[in-house]
Amino acid sequence: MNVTFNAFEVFEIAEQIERNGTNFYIRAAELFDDPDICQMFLRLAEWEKEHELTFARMKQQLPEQSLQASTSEADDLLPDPRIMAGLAVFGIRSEPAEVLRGRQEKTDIIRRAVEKEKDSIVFYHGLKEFVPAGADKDKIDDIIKEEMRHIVILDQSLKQNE
Amino acid sequence: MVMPFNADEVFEMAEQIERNGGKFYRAAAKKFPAMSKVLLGLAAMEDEHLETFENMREELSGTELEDTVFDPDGQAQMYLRVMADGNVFDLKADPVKQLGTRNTPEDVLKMAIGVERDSIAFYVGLKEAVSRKAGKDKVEDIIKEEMGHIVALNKILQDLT
Repeated sequence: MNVTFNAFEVFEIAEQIERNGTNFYIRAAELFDDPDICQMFLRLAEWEKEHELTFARMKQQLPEQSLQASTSEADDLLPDPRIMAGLAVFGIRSEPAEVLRGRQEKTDIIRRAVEKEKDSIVFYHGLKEFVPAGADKDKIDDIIKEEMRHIVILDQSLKQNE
Repeated sequence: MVMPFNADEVFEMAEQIERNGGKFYRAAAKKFPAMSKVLLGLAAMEDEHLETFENMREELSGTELEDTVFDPDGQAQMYLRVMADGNVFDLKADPVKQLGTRNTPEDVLKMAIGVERDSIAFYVGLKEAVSRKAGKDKVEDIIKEEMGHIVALNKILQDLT
């Protein structure tokens, strides 16, 4: 049987991704003595928190029919919920802050952060299909662009620390 | 200041991703004959994507990025530049060599999902950077197909575990 998600569940995963991101960055900041890197991680944590709130607001505004899982066969206009079930693998990995237990190289932590950001970009691109064209789609686009900017910031930090 | 890309550079990177993908799936099919039908099917789709990007590049060859982009704040270009630098996304790594250390079907499927995810992460930036004229919709179609690959790979992985 195919696992499917409705829009409500998909937004819950998006919130979870952001919560995990916030926890990851707060934990990463604790592991560094360098004030610049600490500040970078704390700033990233704040941005992820803002994204979580945006997704929570969008979830609240979903119409009631979003609670029902659809099938692509039933309605071609709706996104295929199996796609999101497949992409959910990026959203529901184990708690990322957990992997930061113990001592790790600075660059390993930054690389992990980049991987986490890539997961988010891919998941949110799929998530866009669950919202109609308009303001909410634009908001998700903005979040995707911000996640891309996070990768640019992390890459700069990686270059400085290698 | 980020050096702007031209269409040639950007699409060459996309082509390299697809070449790597095709090589990876063919090598994986050889290593795990039980999954070869699915893996060779995915390889064939990566070949089609390669052809699409080659055609897009040919159509846009010599065109400066300013004619092909819709990226007013340059954010997508900065992102693509980071991806191109090879620090966070290594296009030069030989996927067949990387496969050498994966000894179970589960490992290979997880690696394949990672390869697909990296492709999508790049194409999302590419889509942001190119104009409709330069083939934004074609890039979106390819993203959707790569998402479909993740679904297929994930399903096999779930059936195995």
